[in-house]
Amino acid sequence: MAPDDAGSRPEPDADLKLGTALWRTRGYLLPQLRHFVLYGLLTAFTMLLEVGAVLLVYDLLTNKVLQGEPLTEFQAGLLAVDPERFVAVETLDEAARLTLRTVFLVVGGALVAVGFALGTVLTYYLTWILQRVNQDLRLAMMDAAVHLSLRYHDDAPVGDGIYRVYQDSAMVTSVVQNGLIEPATALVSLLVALATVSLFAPWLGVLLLIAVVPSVVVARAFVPRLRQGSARARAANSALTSHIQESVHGARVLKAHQAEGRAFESFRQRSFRALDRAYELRRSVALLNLAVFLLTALAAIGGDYLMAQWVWAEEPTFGYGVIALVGFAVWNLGAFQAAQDRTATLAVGSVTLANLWSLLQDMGVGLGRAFFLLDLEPEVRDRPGAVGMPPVERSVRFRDVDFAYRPGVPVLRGVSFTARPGTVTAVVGVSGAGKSTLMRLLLRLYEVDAGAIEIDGVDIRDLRVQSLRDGIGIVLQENALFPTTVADNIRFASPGATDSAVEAAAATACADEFVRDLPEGYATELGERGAKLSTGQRQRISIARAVVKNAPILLLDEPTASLDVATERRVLGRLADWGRDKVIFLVTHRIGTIRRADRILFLEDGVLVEEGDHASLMERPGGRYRAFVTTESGDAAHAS
Amino acid sequence: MPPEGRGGGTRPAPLFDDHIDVDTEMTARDVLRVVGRCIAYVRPHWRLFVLKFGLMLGTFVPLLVAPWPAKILVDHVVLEHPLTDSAVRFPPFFMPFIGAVEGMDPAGLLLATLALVLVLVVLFGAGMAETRDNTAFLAQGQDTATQSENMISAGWSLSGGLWGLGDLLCNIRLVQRVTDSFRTHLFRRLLRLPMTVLDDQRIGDGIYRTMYDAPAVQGICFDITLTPVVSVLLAAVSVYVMEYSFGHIVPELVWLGVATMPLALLLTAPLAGLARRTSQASRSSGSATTNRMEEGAAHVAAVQSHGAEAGERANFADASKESFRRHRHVVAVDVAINLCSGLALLVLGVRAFVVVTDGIVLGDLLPGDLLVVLGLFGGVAAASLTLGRLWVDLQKNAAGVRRVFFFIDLPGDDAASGRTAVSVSSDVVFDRVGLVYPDGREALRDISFEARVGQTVALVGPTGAGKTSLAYMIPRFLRPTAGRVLFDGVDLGELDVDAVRAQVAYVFQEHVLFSQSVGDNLRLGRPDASDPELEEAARVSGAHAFVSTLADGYGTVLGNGGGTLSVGQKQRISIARGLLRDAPILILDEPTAALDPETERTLVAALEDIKRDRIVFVIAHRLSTIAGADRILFMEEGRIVEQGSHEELMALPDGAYRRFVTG
Ligand SMILES: Nc1ncnc2c1ncn2[C@@H]1O[C@H](COP(=O)(O)OP(=O)(O)OP(=O)(O)O)[C@@H](O)[C@H]1O
Ligand SMILES: Nc1ncnc2c1ncn2[C@@H]1O[C@H](COP(=O)(O)OP(=O)(O)OP(=O)(O)O)[C@@H](O)[C@H]1O
Ligand SMILES: [Mg+2]
Ligand SMILES: [Mg+2]
Repeated sequence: MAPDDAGSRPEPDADLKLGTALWRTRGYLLPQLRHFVLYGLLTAFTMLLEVGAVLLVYDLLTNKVLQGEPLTEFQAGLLAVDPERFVAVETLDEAARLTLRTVFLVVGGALVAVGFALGTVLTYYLTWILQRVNQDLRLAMMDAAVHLSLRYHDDAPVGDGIYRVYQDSAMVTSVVQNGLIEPATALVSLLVALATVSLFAPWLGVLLLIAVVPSVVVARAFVPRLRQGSARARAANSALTSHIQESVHGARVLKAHQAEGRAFESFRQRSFRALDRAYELRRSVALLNLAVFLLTALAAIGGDYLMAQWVWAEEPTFGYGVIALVGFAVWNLGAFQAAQDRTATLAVGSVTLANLWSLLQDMGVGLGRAFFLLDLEPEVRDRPGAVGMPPVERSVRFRDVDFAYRPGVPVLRGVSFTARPGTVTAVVGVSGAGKSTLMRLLLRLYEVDAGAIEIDGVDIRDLRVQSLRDGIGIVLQENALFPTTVADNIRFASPGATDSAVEAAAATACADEFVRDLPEGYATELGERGAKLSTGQRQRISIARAVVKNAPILLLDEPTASLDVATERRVLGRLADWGRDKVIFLVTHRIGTIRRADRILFLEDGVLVEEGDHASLMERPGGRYRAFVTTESGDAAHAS
Repeated sequence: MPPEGRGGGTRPAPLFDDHIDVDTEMTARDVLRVVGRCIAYVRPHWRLFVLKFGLMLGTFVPLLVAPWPAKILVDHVVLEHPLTDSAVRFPPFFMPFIGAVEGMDPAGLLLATLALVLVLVVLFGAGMAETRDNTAFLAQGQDTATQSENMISAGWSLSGGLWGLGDLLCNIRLVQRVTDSFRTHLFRRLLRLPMTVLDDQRIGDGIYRTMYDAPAVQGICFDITLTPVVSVLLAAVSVYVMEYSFGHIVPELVWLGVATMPLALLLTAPLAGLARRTSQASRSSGSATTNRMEEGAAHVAAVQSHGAEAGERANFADASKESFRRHRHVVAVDVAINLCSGLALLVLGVRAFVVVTDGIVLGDLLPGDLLVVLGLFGGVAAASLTLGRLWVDLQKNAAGVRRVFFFIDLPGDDAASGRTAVSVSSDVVFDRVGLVYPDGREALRDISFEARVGQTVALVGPTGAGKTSLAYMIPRFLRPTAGRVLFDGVDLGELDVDAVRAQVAYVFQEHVLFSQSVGDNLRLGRPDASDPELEEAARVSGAHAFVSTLADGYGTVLGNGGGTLSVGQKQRISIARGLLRDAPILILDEPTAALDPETERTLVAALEDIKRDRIVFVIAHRLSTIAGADRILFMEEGRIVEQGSHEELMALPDGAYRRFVTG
């Protein structure tokens, strides 16, 4: 139920110029230059073959077969036929003409077949080239998307990303065709036609030019309409995609609340809106085509009128006097038909150009949307000279860290603490206090607003992001499982892990016990979002995932919220054994677990209000932590 | 290639990501059936269809009329032959114009003819230049998905001008409407997929089928309605024009042209299966690509947290590459089909050529007739070729349409209807209920208990014991594979699913919010709830306090899937959402897992109040949440091992519950 298409978010690229957008695609086109050139050569070859064929056999057919003219010596030699019968005669006899026809059929048929076959192979080749271009852009976009700041993703509907990577990026495949080859061809044939017509009669040329000018004006005037139409159509389709994504993702919740009907209604509206927008865009395209066509056609009709007058008056043509190009000295039927043919070409050519113009506008908008994703600066990136993660032998330290997701709404304020290897630091506080945020900052999913986070005294902003994250294992508060196998899910963060490492990690996480009972053990596929496991089972898979990474820092964000007390105790016990030399952070509400931590950080409203071990914090009269524990104590008494 | 075997005992191993829709083979009969069903989606739009048909017929007018003014311009205007001298008969429909201009001098005739041309140009875009097919195709990509946008809004007209514009736009609308009917039908069914199917259904696949498979329906609808009509008419026009202009058609050429159809059919039919299978594979692999994208984007926080960007990218790269490759197979088959139908054309074209040249050599025809007469063959052959390829085209589109029908046909959770008058006024009873999941895992065995209105029932047990599975049966998310669940003594199997669900408010263990405003999220289960009710529910669940600190309070639009809230905050919203629904049965699955003690206490206290006229089921690990329940069902490995109140169960010496609680 993503926001509708009414410009869901301001896009800085909304007016990325068409030229800029097209020009930027070169980065994806040039790598395939070799293939484009080869394709071009092969196409030219095919065309030559066809033209050659026509020239070669045309005479044979029209003059020889059809009209019985004798062959030349050369032709007879070439075809190895008897000169007596084919050359030294007034007209060819029937049998000879039929023989020549067979020759024509064989040669012509062979050429046509070869040309056709080559053409089809080229179709395949071109597809292959363009797909490579598109693949490169898709990957660049996907790469950008997974690296983009979570601030972006928080608001960007998933379907929008899909639409951009899929549909918007596809526009890159038409750039060469619609941006280069076709306009050039159309323009050349248009100019040639215009020049020819002007040679017949400059006034005719002027008349047609006069028609071209308003066409250009109309085409320009259509630009905002086309661009807006395209942007809206794309936004509406992206919103529709997002709606499907959200609805299918939330299908269970919709069922539980019997809201399928409303989700369906809003799908219908969005579907309709998307279709309306697509329709409006196409209507603009068709209207522009029609307008340009009518303008040029009117000029052509006017031309017909003038030319008829000139034929009657037998006026001399213009070009004949200057250069003997036109071939017709005076206006006659031949000149009339030739010139009419040119004006028709001109009209068709202008419509082709107008149509390409529309296509380009649409492509430009699509490419703009694609490049938008590439242009967003990831918030977190490697600084020049960034180094690898230190071994975490001394400490993980927060120094006066301030952080806000949105300006003006501080989430963490002046947080300072130090954690050392071999200790467990419990992070405690009411819901929304900023515990998970603290973990995210250590992972550098966001940059701190003030202060610094240091590992072994090195500011994490001076570390390579990948090496930092490789050095941290995390169990997220919300399980993120994939519909792959159990083993692949556990391996998610450490693709190289061996089967035995995976199983050992699963054992540490107390996952082994249930995984073994699954129909195919570690090869069992988990279903969408891991749906075929119970929540507690999913949670243990997430823990195994962090364990198998075997990193020096371990972040556990409510790792046992869905586990029963007994299982929780076993899991935490094994984790403690396993992670003796690691820096462990543990976010939890459960007092029984908290009290065993070496150090407790008590967060309130983003401020670290108390810090110490359980015993010392409990001694503080009126302490915040103490109050927290007292509320919980009913449970604690039983659970611990 | 997709699995070849049909049935044959074991299910074929899924290719790509398909787990439900795995048997993708179709017999010719399946294809025909699917084609027939597509027509049903045109029926609601029959007016538009009739309009399109009429407009389309109109586009033949310029084809028939346009040659004549051109001829008049040349012969009677430029060459100044009197009209009455014409060697060629004007067709009857053109006589009115001839009558009107009869006797004019060339200057008048010029103006009159140009006026007619002008009318034709404005109306039909015809009369001067060659007529072009009028389409509004936009740029597209190089795989099935990226070409679908053009299919959804496909349109063409044989003519230009105003008429052509109308024809084109009407066409686009018609295609859109048909596709819309089809995809909304699919989407409605997707929302009703049973839970166990949803477990296997990829979200990306749902997107792909709705957005990119559904448009195939229009290809089928047009292939079997308008396309044949247009083809036959075009052929007829060729013959007619020839007859009139030249008087001597060579009938053999017409028959040769017509023969293109069976020959092309014969040559391309063997490729039909291949066309369908490659299209299916292209679509399946496209789905898989969409899945990768969807997962990557939806889990982006997890991906970044685990430093798994490179892996995600590689996954996507593989899938995308594969889907491009699969699409190239489609292109290759297309190319082969073109070659085959081209071959048909070539064989018959040679024959036609021989016939004509024979005539010329023998002196029956003039050399100038060659192209014109061959044009007759060409006109008829082109139309026949379209018909000859119909089967292949149908098969190709059938692949896409089948993928949509598969989910339309899959029994939804609303499949069985029954009594709709239900209200739980006394109790919910489980009678020896068992549950085996489709993959063969037994989750519940022999579950029997009863819960009365006014009671709180706590489901307790170690993780994986089957608590959620049990609770899922109450709103019939899952159906028992053994035994019965009864509301007030009535088996749920006899009741309408929607009626059953209306009795239940369910708060899931994992919270899914929508990117709407907080208020809309809360009202999901009861759109007409008043503001005070909303606030009350939010207060009880502890959501009110933080919601009021949000920028726009209840009007604040949440980020992606509620991602701008902390997990505990999401949980409180989702609890409030359940409370607001105000149904006789309230089920809370681990409501307090992410709650701090303070909020938990408020909630537990509030439940006391809520349960007065309801049955409340609570699944919880925390003692503070369960201790006050009227009845505790202690579960282990899919069975209820003990039940009773907290005190009763604690009193059992060496009871399982007691051990569980005291650790
Ligand atoms: N869709 C499914 N297909 C197959 N098996 C399933 C499916 N969902 C759950 N299971 C299995 O059924 C058993 C019971 O799961 P259930 O979700 O009911 O447990 P639970 O008691 O709610 O556990 P938790 O406390 O972890 O949420 C588990 O072993 C689980 O793996
Ligand atoms: N992506 C985000 N954008 C804006 N605000 C956010 C975002 N994530 C969290 N917040 C806000 O920041 C505050 C701290 O959130 P955080 O997730 O760190 O809480 P927490 O202590 O982990 O809570 P819980 O125990 O519920 O998980 C909350 O008020 C939350 O609404
Ligand atoms: Mg949190
Ligand atoms: Mg559960």
